[in-house]
Amino acid sequence: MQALYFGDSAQPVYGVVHEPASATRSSAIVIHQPLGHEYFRTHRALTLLADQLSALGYYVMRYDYLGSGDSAGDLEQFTLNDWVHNARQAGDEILAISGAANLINIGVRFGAAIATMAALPLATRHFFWDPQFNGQEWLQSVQHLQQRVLNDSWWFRFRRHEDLLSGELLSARFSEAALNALNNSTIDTATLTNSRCVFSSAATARTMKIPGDVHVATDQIDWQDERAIDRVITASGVSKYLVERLA
Amino acid sequence: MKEVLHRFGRAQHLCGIFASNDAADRDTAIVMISAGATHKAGPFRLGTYLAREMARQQLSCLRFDLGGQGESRYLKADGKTYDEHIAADLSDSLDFLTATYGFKRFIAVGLCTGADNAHKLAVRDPRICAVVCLDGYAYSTPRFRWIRLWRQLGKLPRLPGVLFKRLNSLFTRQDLNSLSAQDQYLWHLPPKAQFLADMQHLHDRGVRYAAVFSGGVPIYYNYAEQFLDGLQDHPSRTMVSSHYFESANHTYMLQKDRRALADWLCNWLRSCLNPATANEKAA
Repeated sequence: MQALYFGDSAQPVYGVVHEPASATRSSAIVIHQPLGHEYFRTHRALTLLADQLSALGYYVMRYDYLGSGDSAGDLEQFTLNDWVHNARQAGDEILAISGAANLINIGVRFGAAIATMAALPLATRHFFWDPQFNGQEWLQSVQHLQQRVLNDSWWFRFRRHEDLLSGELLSARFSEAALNALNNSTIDTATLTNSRCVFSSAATARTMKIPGDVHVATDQIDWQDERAIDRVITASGVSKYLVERLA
Repeated sequence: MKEVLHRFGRAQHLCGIFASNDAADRDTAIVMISAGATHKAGPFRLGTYLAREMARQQLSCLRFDLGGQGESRYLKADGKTYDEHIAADLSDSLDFLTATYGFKRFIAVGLCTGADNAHKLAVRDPRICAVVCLDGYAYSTPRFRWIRLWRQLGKLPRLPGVLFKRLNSLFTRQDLNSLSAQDQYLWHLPPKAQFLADMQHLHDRGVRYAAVFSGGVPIYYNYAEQFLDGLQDHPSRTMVSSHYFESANHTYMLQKDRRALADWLCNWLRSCLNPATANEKAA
């Protein structure tokens, strides 16, 4: 795999290209990671997934949205438009590197919404893992989770609610503009075409009303478990499904 | 502040980001060691945040993925154990910083398993002049046990549930195979005699030692002076600084907590480079 910076050199986006030993596919894959604390939970699973997909002959791109992971800046400097733009940049970059004719999107949690908003022109297939297509619902779920974390003496011995900065959500700090944009972002799931959803548990699948092809894995990931917010997940069931579908 | 992406190591298998500043010290660099299964950005991006804060305050810092994490490859075929791999990767990072940027001395910084590795690196590599362990080694003291007992008494109303869990665990077989995969992300407290021998060795070399604890590890650390009390009158006390962020959790999740950690850390790191100006710059 090859790490690289792309985009604006003053504010570069960090990306990782997983190169196949021999490129045998006409498509390249872009993995759109989750936002906020969910990025850290899924990072290892997505790294391993990208390795598996490159072993199938695909070029695979993972990237960090501006203000997250190893990309430039702090999250509060950016808004949803920037992250959608990063998704487009990542698509262009992997097309240029691989010479592929088209793209396959893999969007995880709110990364699914970002991938859909980016509407990459050459993206012909879309896979979504525990997708969140409604920004307001996602924000509310993270706000509730944060409240439970702050109320849980296992995390904090003392009351810390007053110490939160404005826009702070489980270590990520969103700007007012980003919160407004997220609150107003909704994808009409009825319009999704050539897409498949995979859920890590039946409980998560029940919370989403996604039409079409849906698969439920048995990884039993609970995104609302306040004791698990820093727990690294492997999601072998989800990965197995995606690898089988793309083999 | 600028960041440069590098690939390095004995098999070019490691990936790291070097953060620096034109006015930064050219003699000493900081090496930030990743924790557990997290990559170089650190838990909740703590690694990225601290490295950039250091660079803004004229401290050069390399944060990188140990082999098998993030963008670094694990070299399976060279016959080393996992611990030997980590040791070799850490040596590679120092070699790289010397060869590429000319640094001669290093400060190792790590959280949790990163602290374990930072301590071990400081003991075995004479190029390390200071070490920062965030929630690293600490030993039980009489005061620790009293505080723990006092807190447990406060939880008496929950005693029936706790007893049930304890009893239940006695009759539940632990699946050791399932533990083995996780085991490499855990650290084991060395015997105190070994720890004191290490501290004596570091003292003899003049290595400074910062033992920083959060309130997120009450199972083994529960008051500010515990680390120093554990050393009793050991000679190494003179080169140890200790600080307790009691209200913070283990990964400094709250922005306010990581700000406080960065301020304390950068001030202490500057004092390692130039003791006279540390507090002055911080002010």
